[in-house]
Amino acid sequence: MTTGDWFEALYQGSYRSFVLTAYALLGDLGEAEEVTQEAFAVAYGRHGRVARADSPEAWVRTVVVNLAKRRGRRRAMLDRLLRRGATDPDPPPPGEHLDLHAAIRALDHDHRAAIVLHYLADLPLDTVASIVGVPVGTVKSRLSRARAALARQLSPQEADHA
Amino acid sequence: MPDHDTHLDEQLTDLRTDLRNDVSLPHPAAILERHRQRRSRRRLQAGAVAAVLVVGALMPTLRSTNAAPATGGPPTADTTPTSTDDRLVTNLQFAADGTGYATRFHLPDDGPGEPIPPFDATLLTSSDGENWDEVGTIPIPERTDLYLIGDLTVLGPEELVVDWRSEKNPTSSASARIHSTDGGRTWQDVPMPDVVTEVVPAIPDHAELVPACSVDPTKRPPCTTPSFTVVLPGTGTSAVLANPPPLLTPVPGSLPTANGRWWAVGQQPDTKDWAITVSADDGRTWNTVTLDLDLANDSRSNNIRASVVSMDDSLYASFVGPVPNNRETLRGIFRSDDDGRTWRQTWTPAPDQDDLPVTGTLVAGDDGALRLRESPNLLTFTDGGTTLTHTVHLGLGMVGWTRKGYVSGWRSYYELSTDGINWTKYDLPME
Repeated sequence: MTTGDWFEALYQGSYRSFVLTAYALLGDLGEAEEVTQEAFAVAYGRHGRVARADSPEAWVRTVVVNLAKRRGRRRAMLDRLLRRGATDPDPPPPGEHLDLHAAIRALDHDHRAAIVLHYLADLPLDTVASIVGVPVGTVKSRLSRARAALARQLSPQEADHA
Repeated sequence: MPDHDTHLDEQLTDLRTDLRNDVSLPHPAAILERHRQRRSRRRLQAGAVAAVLVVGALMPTLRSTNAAPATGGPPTADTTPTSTDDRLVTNLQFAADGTGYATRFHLPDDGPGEPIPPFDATLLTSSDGENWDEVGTIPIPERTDLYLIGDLTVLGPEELVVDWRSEKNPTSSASARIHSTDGGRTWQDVPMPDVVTEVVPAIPDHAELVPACSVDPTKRPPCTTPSFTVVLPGTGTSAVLANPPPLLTPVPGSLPTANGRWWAVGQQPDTKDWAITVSADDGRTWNTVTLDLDLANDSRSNNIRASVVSMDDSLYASFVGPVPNNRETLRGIFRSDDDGRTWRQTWTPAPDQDDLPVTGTLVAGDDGALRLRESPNLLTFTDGGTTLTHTVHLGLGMVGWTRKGYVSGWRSYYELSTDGINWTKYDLPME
């Protein structure tokens, strides 16, 4: 990669985090990867501007978020047009945490986004607030409610395993 | 309730790690090609309102990996205006005698109605590393995926293979291989069995190690058991070692160190601890040592990057891997004075150390210093790998190790260093 250098370091260091950010907004890992690659392609085409940004990482993350939101809106619109109701994203990747994954996917969009952005994409509260467009206090509230919901959904499973 | 909270936190942390490991990092060439597609689309959109409407209608087709070709077929290199911006050199390797080979890809613009067109690949060669000539076109297999990566392996002055892999899983086994024994003027297909059955007692001279795995398409990632095979000079076929490194998911250096040591990193089968293994007898026997890397045991080989170099009579190893905040950063420098039988960590990141996501090869300098250079970081380790000097230096490409020395750059030029200190820039032909 030509601009090699700082761009590749950003790519190597932040790609997975960006994918999880997009995943929080889309609920689909495949679409999240697609959006993240597109964001890096945008950044590559504007590498001069990105390099001058105070934080190239924040610049690309903003593109990821905007593309994910745009794609989510487009998908919702198509769903309405096709009268399919709620979207049915790809099933989660197989793993050892299917119960938790299913519980997160069962949350409504706002609570799922808060959980995924903060706990899975590992973003600080103020960044989460900026991405979802609400005050930090609202993010904390959503996280608290989402955690309680997850605990409720997971506890019967744990009882079954006991 | 606190117990539940702790348990939930632990589960979330595990899920985060699993998700991150499920996300494979596409080859950077995929980003370049996507950038080219974007630029091409923007040109078309700027053409005329009618053209915009056409392009808009065909966007799903342009984005589809399985779309059928439009009537008339995709444009070819002969009919499509080309630009040097559409060309890039992605592989550059040398034979032991210094003969160089490089693969240059041309990514032609795609027009409306076509799916992603096949790029074409050209082989370049040089006898001195400075003056490069075109040898000819490299045959490309029928595309089965959106992006294909051609990995070049040089087995001798006139012998080379090209492995074609999917960018979606760049560390997996090659899906197709071609072999040339006349410097790339003619090529022969090499059978690629799902299971490699040929066994060799040792790694032959001029051989290389390449990634391989057992592919299970029902799993993510489909490369369930990453490993490696030996590419054999003479046939270009793959073989496994009779006595492979005793590690899970071993990731080897493709070439031996300057003093002829083969190495790999991976996890201990019983504890899953990360370990390094070194062979001083061409892969017949291995010295394996567990390292205290302060990495989560659930880190996987696809997010560990290691390199081993020899300097004087010692081996040095660098490890880059994930830390709790999920960023990948340099985790340590290690030194062995006895061919890998024992290792000691000479540099450990301080708790407040800034992230150092340097992914290239450790460079051993004739001045006794070790360097990791990848813009914007230039890390210099002196005093036997114990003292770090960190400077910001823009314009440094990722470094790779070849039989001629260290190389960096690629695309339209590369830099070569044979002493680990001084770098000479050479232009590559892009016309």
